[in-house]
Amino acid sequence: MSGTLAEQALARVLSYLHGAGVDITPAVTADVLRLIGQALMDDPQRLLARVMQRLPDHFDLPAPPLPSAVPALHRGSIRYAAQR
Amino acid sequence: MNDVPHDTRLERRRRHWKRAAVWRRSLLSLLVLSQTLAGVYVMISVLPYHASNYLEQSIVVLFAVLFAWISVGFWTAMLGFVVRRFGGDRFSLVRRHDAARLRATPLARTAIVMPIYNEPVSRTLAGLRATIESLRATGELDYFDFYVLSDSRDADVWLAERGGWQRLCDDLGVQGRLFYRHRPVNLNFKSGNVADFLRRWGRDYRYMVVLDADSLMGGDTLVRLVRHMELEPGVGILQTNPTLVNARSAFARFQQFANQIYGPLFSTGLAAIQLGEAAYWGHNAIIRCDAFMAHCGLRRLPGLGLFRGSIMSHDFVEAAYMGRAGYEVWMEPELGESYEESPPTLVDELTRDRRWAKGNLQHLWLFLVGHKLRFAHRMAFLNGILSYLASPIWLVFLILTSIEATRLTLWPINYFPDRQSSMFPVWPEWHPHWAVGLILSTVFLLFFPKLLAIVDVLLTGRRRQFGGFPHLLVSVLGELLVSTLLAPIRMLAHSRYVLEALANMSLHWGGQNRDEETGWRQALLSQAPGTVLALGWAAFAWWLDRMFFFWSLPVALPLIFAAPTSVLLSRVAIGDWLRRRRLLITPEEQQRSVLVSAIAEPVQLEDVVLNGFEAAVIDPSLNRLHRHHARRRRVLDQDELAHCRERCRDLGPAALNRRQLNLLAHDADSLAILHEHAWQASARGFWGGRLAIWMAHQSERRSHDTARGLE
Repeated sequence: MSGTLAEQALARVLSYLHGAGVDITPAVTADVLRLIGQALMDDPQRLLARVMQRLPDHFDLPAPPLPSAVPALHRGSIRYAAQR
Repeated sequence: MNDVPHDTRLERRRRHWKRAAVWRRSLLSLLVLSQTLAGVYVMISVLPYHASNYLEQSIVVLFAVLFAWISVGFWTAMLGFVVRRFGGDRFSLVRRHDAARLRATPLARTAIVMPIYNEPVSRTLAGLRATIESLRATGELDYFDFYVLSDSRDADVWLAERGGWQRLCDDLGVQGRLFYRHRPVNLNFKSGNVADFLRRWGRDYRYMVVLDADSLMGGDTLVRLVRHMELEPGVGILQTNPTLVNARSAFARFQQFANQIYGPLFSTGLAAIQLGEAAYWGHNAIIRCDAFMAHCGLRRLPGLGLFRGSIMSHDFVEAAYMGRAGYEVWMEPELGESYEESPPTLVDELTRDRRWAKGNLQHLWLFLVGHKLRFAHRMAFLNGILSYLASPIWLVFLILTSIEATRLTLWPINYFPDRQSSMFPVWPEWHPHWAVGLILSTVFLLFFPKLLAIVDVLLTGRRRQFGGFPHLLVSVLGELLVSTLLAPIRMLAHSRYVLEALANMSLHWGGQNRDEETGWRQALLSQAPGTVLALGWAAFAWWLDRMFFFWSLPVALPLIFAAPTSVLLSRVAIGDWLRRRRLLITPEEQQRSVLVSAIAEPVQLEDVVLNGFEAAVIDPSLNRLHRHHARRRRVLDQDELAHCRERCRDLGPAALNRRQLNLLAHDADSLAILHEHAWQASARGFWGGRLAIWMAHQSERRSHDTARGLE
């Protein structure tokens, strides 16, 4: 059971890191395995939660600058002519 | 206040085209009027009592309106044919400046704005991507900014829009040039959305180009539009003539073919009549921002019922206001690379028409009491109104003619219909050959422009673009058949919409379906009233008089078979079959236009396996994006927020209504909490299951990318 959970944890963490923009190199994979090992020692019943909680401490997740959704405001007005 | 620039050159040009416009419109009026008078004369002769009673007089009046209406279409196409035969309109705006002058004209800052409302995200952004790439290829991208102006109310949709926007920014490197605005309150529909943009950023741009969600425009055309506007400071709006493309279903392919083959004649004729007092169609047009902001604000209508409240069909009104302010409005069919799409099914077209019918009928108020509007723009209002009002007029005409036939058959002959003034009997007369002549002349007015369009294709050497002459001929015959089948269905639907509009029934403002087929159940239910009515009418006609029965068939049969027509025409497989047989082929398909191909199979967004909200919760980069852009506002009801979060965490987003989902989607903390929960959830729960699907999809993509890399 714990083996299955560990597999799930490994897949989950690798997916998360990839989704967050981390390149999955052998070194990163080794780090992930170490993280799972520590979490297994710590609390094998709540492995998935433990691993994901500790993830930010083990990896610097990339934070590329996000595009600005809108430019600075430059307010103008719409004029309404009389209809009749 | 008139702030239109004045100089002698502009004034001379204006006088020049206005003289031509007066002459052309007078000629058109004369032709339509004389043709209608001739038609009315024959109609009176055809009627047994020669319009000497109220019933026949009513028939004649309705006939006159309908005959005049189709005469306008006929002569517009004739004029279009003649203008094209002479190599184009010498008064046209785009012919004022040669290519060298245009090239030498510097560009000005222009915003390309795309107001959207619950549209298919992949298709919408694929069109925008193609437009940006096309502009980049011109080397003039630096002059343009792009705005996706979303009014979408569904969190799944607007979250997907925002994710798609970021991906587009990254893919094309247009951060700081491509913007995404999600309006919290969608006041006054699309025109309110554009007005919201102008109030915020309109002063930063000299021009804006408005695109619809299904619009597509080429970079060269956009650059030409800006240069023409720079050279013509008296022009407020320059409208292109969008061509239908990217049709898949049989219905859309018939519409697209008709648009491409007949469109040039009608649009050239229309442009030649309108000249500098054309209409604005709401998209694929360039607008002078300061003039629009100064003169085109839309007040709420002050009347009663339908004529009270927000103006729904804003575009014609904005053109009329621009004209009233002294600016010219041009429609130029010669500007190419301007595209849009047809609704995929009849049901979708009629859903759109329901909205347009109400919007156009609202224009009756402005037509009658609009202050200082130009006569040409009042006529544009009338044209829009009649395009829907013609349907109930036709319906009433059919009802009255049925009553006339019934009366002649069942009632005793009335020899003294006008008892007061005549001592002599009136003998009912029936001239079948005159009636046949009248029917044939009506058919001629309706179909001759279509034949002329084929002649135009042949004379301009474009037959290969439509698949060669045999395929072109078969396609045209097929289109004639389909348009004949659809006309009575549209007539009955439009009649209902006009009645609903006059009763001021409220409408749901919905995004358009752009890719779904019509099911049998939906078609049978929606077409049942027309089918029952037509069956009853045909049975009555059979019982009454065999000749009358045969006369009723062209209208009754299409209504009886409306449901299968609607279903079969909605089928993409039939559309593809026609295309494989090189029927209904259009030039863009033949030439494999790069621009149009870009939207043929839009790139799917990253997380199509999840809906927009689920992707926002699960995908780490999307979650970060949405948290970053979540509104920084204090949620008044923290308890409700916590309650929604808990339900969403335990049961998934389906357990919440639209308002609750929007509440969560706008709250950065909730998105963060749900994200953490989803990634820590066991595989058996809702979020664990969705996560497994997302991970499988990501893994598949990685394998696909690796395989492509090895290739």
